[in-house]
Amino acid sequence: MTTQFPVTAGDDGRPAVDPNTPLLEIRDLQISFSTGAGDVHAVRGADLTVYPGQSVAIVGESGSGKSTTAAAIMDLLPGTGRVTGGTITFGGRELVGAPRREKEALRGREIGLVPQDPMSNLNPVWRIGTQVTEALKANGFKGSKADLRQRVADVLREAGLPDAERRARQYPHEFSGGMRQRALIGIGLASRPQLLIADEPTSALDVTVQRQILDHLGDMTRDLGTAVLFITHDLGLAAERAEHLVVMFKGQVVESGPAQQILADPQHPYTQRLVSSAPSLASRRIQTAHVSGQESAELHAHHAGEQPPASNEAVAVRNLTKVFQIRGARPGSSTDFKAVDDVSFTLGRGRTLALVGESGSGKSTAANMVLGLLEPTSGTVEFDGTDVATLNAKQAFAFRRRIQPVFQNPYGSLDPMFSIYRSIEEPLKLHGVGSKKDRENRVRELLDMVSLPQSAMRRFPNELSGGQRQRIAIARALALKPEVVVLDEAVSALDVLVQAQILDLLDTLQTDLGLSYLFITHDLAVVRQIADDVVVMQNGRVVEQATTDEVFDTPREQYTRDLLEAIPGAHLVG
Amino acid sequence: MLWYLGRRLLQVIPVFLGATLLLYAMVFLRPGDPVSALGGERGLPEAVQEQIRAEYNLDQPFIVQYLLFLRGVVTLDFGVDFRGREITEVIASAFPVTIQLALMALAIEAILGIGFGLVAGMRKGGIFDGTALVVSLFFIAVPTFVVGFVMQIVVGVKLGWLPVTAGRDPDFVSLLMPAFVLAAVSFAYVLRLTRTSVAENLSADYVRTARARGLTRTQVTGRHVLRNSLIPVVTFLGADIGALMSGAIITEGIFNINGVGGTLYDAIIRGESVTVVSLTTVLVLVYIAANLLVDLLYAALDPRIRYA
Amino acid sequence: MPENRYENPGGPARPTPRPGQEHFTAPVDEGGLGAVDAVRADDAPTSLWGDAWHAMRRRWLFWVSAAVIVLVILVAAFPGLFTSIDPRVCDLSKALQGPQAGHPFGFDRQGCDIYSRTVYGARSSVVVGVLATVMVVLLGTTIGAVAGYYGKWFDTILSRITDIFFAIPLVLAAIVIMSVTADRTSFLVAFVLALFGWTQIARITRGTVMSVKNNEFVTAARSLGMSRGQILVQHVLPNSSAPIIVYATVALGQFIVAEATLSFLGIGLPPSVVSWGGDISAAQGAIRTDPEILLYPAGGLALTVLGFMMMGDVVRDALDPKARKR
Repeated sequence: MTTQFPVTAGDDGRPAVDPNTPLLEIRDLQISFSTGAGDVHAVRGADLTVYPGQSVAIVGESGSGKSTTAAAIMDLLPGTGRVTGGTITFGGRELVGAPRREKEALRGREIGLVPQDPMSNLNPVWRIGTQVTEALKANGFKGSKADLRQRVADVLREAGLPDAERRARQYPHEFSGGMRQRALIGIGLASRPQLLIADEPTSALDVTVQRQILDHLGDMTRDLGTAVLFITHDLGLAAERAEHLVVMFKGQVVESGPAQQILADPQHPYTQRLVSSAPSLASRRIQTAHVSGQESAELHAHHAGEQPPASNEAVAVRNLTKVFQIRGARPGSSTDFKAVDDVSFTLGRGRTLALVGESGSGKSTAANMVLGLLEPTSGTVEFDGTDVATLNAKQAFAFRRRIQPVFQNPYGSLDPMFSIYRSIEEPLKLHGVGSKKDRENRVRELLDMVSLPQSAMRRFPNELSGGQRQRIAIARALALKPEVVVLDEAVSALDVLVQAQILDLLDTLQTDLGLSYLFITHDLAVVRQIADDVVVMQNGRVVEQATTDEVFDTPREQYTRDLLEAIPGAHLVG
Repeated sequence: MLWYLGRRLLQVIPVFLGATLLLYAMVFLRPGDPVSALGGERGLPEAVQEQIRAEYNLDQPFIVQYLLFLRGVVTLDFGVDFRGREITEVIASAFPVTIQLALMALAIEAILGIGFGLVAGMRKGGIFDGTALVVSLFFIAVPTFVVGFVMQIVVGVKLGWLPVTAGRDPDFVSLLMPAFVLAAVSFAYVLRLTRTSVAENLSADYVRTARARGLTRTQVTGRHVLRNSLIPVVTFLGADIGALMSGAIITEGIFNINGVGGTLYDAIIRGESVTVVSLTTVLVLVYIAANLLVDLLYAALDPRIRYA
Repeated sequence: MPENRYENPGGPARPTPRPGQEHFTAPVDEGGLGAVDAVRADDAPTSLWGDAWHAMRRRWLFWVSAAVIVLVILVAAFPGLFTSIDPRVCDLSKALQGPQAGHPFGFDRQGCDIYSRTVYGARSSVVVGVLATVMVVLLGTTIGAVAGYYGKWFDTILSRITDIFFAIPLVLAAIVIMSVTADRTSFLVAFVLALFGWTQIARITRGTVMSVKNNEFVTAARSLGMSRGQILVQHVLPNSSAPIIVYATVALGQFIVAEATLSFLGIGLPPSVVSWGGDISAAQGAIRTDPEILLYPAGGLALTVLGFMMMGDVVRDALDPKARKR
């Protein structure tokens, strides 16, 4: 392969690299954070080896110590964190306890960083070009002003930004997330470091963009011979991009070894669980005892104690359109923006319909219209054969009991001022259900249903983990015995294992209660685990609509194929 | 940017109209008659009172009075005060020294506040930070006039470093102590604002990324931490120009300076309603202008605002 | 480039791992992996306020400012507990005499007992400060919450009104009004200060309400069929209260200073009311010869304001969501 990227960053006479001597060696690393309540040991005895030009990935969930380990390599531990033991050897030099200037000299020049969130990692007040210039100058770029400008443009062009000269003069807020991440990759590699640390480099981006960026990063580092240390929560991504994996759990390395071997034959119980739970690696829908639409309809009728439903359609959406007016900078220069454009779909009773799309596809806007939170510009939402728009105030209030949402953010979906009991009781109280005693029994029943101890009801949201809060949100949504639950990215913010648990719970509840789910997500991998039918949306329109199996096995549209292609690790299974 | 500026200018108009109307109402719509209060205990003869009322449009309905006053403001002709002096001239003689005083105070609070605030923010939780916080609270808690008296006693009388009062046509040195006194409270706010802002920016992602790029500590502090921390501080300083000018009323009283504060206070005590309204209107104008300036500064400092 | 370049992860598979990269499995912890997600069962449940209280309790600054505030309120409510001398009974023959038995601070220019006047001066400061703060919180919170929550033209109109009042500096407006008012009571002083002092709290409330109303728990309440008014009162306002409480503590101190400033200028409380500002003003004449007369009322004033300001600092730190996250 021809080298696409010039390796010469400025010949500073670096020693020739021996491919068989480890570039980075971490032995028995210990990291602690001191808090008011004493020391917290974030990393306990981690070992890690990276050879020149090699890709290694640290995989773990939040709180596993993976990012802390990476930060320690660059001496960028946040707050009160410090290395309390072990060694970090880079290119034969010991970094733990090295003087500050020596470590400053190492950063950027020999170890680059691609940070996690492209939105917050570029300084909003400086032009992109200025921030590249800074990196070049700090790492010994010598040359004229014109050379510098040329080199800045080169850096951005290499990172895959067209029209680089103009881009360099723009500010971060004028860039999309993907473009910012490209700029950050360019900056990270600008001085041709031997090691690039990529800390969740694409977790904040849309899946298709994610794939493009990772491909580009892979091409660049391969051509430059840069070693890459990926930090990720996504086992599929790690296995696809790295040859050596290090699995961390609660501050310790539980398993490490060749990627394929770990994927195929995980030894440690934690790794085994991680492999079996990773949605990108799962191939089938969760099937506890999945019932057909007909059976669940009967179940539902029994459960709600109402008359059998007239049709098998819980929700039918017809030609739904929503137009927003975007106010321009000048007066009167507002433009119409079609967030949802002529969308139709039906959610069968007792079934799960996934609405899939990337950010800006209109999926959440559509969900809000189904929930009756947003007025459609045109089109209808029919619930059980009745057009929701024709309901009067009283009927509309009663309608709320039959369709309830669960939102993405487990930190924002519960009122922090309300105890768990009050949160779950609120819908019952508002709709005047039962006596105080009845309501308390119902809250206890609901907590049982979502497998939380009844003692949890005296607690407050800030005392619970993300997964637990999401269980509370589900219990709350189920309090009024709805028929339809809208799950708006309900598992997207959760760690893999917790996500798997919640998906199992949702499936069990569906079977037991005959619920119909409208599942809004950007993540096709999860769709395969939970949905019966899929609607793929792009730019407000429906692109493809079919059963889950059809979409995964024989996708008709190019966009759907792109989405499927973008699932990390998709190529590793099947 | 131009549209942004235009929109802001348009928004200023109702605020100016509302604020002057409010002021005008406060002075002229109060119980009692400003003219009958003139002339001391005995009051002026009825005929003279009538003449004054006609001259100042006080016999007109309130809203007409206000509109006539507004015309005066726009044409920069405030008329004459009850003693026959051109109010425009009164303003012209009072403002220069107050402006000088306010700018000196602004410079003092900016330099000291940002300096100490930066050090305190960089070492949040340290001894310097703790001391700076307590000292700044002290400056906020002690009223300006007490600070003024204490400085007069200590710096002026006991140490004799600076003149105790400024008097007529004060020079730079004699304005130094009043400027410090005037700046005291705002200095404390600038210090605290800078400290919070710096401490917050220190843990920002882009600062960490800048360090990861290989920038030295000094470079990171100057180009990223301080530069970004200054955005709220500079906007505070801009808005403070207006506050300093009206706050000068106390300081000028203590140091016997014949600026806006002194003139305004005299006019209030004498019941010179027209002078009071004219001077406060100019102060409100300065205040509004300062806030407008802040918005523009904000846009200049933070590129995200420019295109909003 | 080969089509199937991701078939072999990260490049060609190596038959034997390199030194340091052999397959390694940690021994399974004796405690096992534990439940993936267990509810803490060990300690008592704590609300946000409980957390804040816990954080405040550990700081000495909290106890110092609490002690000052309690003392000042006690003095203001029951001055008779601290002195038996009437502050209004003065003996000109004792004017400017120094401390003596039963009169620890000595006498002022009118021959009044300074200690007694300092004790009795607390009441007017505290009354004006508390009254003005209560009014400002009620007015500012209402206006800010309506503007921020209902938006649209409510916001446009209320924000403009806020701008208008904001454009007139507090002390300037108070001077203009107070100078022409004959019947100057504590309530009136507080009212005038509140009338021009509510804008800051209205702006803070508006901003907080606007960010709180975007939370998903608000959307969840809407989808339960809760009315907008109910949501505002039950969910949005309680969650907006932290910055309001912090600002109110600071505002209390600022109003006390403002009252003293007006009294100092002779247009605050009338001379018949014992107040720190008035006493400082009276002491001004003897500033070169007897500066200590001035220091007692000024000290009382500074201590009171400092107490409330420090409390504001402590409360802000304890309620700061950013500080709590870590």
